[in-house]
Amino acid sequence: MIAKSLLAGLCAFLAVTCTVFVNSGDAGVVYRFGAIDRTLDAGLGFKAPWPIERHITVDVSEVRRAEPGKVRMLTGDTNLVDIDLVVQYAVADPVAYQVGLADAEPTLVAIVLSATKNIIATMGVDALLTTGRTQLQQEAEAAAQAMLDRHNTGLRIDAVEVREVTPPPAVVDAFNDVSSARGDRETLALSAEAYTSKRLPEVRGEANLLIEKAKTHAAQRSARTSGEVARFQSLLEAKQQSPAATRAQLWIETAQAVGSRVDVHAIRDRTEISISD
Amino acid sequence: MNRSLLTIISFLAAFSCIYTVDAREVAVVTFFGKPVDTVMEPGLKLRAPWPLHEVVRFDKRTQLLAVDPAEVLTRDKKNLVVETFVLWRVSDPERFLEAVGTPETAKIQLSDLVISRIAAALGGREFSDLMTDKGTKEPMLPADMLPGIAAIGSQRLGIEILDVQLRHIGLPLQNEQSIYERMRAERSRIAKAYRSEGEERAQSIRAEADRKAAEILAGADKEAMGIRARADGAAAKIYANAYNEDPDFYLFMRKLQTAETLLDKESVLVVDADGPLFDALTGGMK
Repeated sequence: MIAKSLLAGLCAFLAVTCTVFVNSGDAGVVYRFGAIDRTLDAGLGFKAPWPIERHITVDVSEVRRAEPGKVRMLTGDTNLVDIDLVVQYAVADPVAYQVGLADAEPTLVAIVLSATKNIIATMGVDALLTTGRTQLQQEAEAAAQAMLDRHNTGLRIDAVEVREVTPPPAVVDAFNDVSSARGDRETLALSAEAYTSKRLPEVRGEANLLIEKAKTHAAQRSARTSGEVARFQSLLEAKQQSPAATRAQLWIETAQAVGSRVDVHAIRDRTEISISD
Repeated sequence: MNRSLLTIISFLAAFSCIYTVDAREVAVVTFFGKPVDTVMEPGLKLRAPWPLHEVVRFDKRTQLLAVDPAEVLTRDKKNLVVETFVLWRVSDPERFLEAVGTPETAKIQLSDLVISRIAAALGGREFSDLMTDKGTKEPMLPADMLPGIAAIGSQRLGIEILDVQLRHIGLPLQNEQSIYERMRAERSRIAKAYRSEGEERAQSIRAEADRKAAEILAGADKEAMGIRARADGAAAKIYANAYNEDPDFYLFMRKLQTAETLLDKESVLVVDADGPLFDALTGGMK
């Protein structure tokens, strides 16, 4: 009876201590008497009972984040910039990760900062603040990964993300003034272009007016000329038939037309003689 | 009774002779405090029971040593504040135990060693060699620095030094101020350049607009004058033709016409009472 229950207890103990359940995304590292023997993939695995073997689970799918915070760095052209970095990394090799680094994350941060500092020391401040960020990220990632691999850390960098590159607070207003000056440059040019697009149509209008006036003048001139010449022609015809009569008629008509309109004074021997009142 | 006690004691003794060394550790076996064996490989090991043998274990993984910031001078006497880090691990546990003892002591000894070597290395370089915006440059630390430090580490401390790198290079606070001054001056120069560039562009755009405007007006003026001239010329020709048909009558008619046009309501016409206009009236019934 006692032997039986002892046997059952032993079986239960073995079942519990010999089976390992590894979650998906994890890896199990099995130590046999302290030495790493093998790794277990996700799912059900087996190991010898304690104290012969034991296992440690390592999450190999989680993307971990390290944030060194804002760091002031010297650029290649001896300016200072504040860089805000985030490193995303994961465990690529669970065995190397187990035996590689005593302090994984602080070491990773030191390596990434060192690589970043080296690259920034070869870049100018203007490139860093504008187009150079992608280059910085890629080169820092490659350099840091190379160093991690050289030291067999089992870590893989997924991304070195430069969250922010800013001039230090002491000089930020000077940098802002440069961007507003760049804006001013555009504004000045734009307002000059606005002047052009207002001025030219105005002038074209003026020019058209000048030409139209000239055309009007020409039309009037031509109309008057042909009117006058037509009159002359018909009077000339009349004059050819009866010269004296036509001349007299014309003279009298004009005298009447003028006389009825203007103030006429008749004088004799320098004395005015009154015709009316 | 005696036998069972003996059995238990011998069991315990046998058990205390077995120990394991983890894959992340190295160990030194000491005999009354004196190192007698070094264990570099993990696994199941045997030893004499306590108190004869003792096992001292050390972490054999790569350790990070962050050296405190230190001020160094470049060859051209520029001050720099450098933060160095060292990757190291215990490579000779026996020597490590004797020379260092604990990782904390290792850090102090390593820090002093590394700082003096870094100061010497950077003291041999110009500041401009360390910083460049031309894209590529020499590594900041000379290649022969690490072997020198590593040799001392392994011979004296039982430590393998894997890497020595600068985590950060900065400037002392008072030097930062002068950098800021320069940065501000540089920015204000760039801002001025942008603004005067804008003014220059605006001026040339305006000048071009004015020139185009003047051209348009001049062109229109020329065209208008041409139109007028042609019209006047045509009129003059027509008048001349009319004149040629009968100059005397033409002049007579034009004179009358002119008189009629010139004299208006405000005009005063003074005429000889005996002139042709009134002679019929003033001359009596002749």
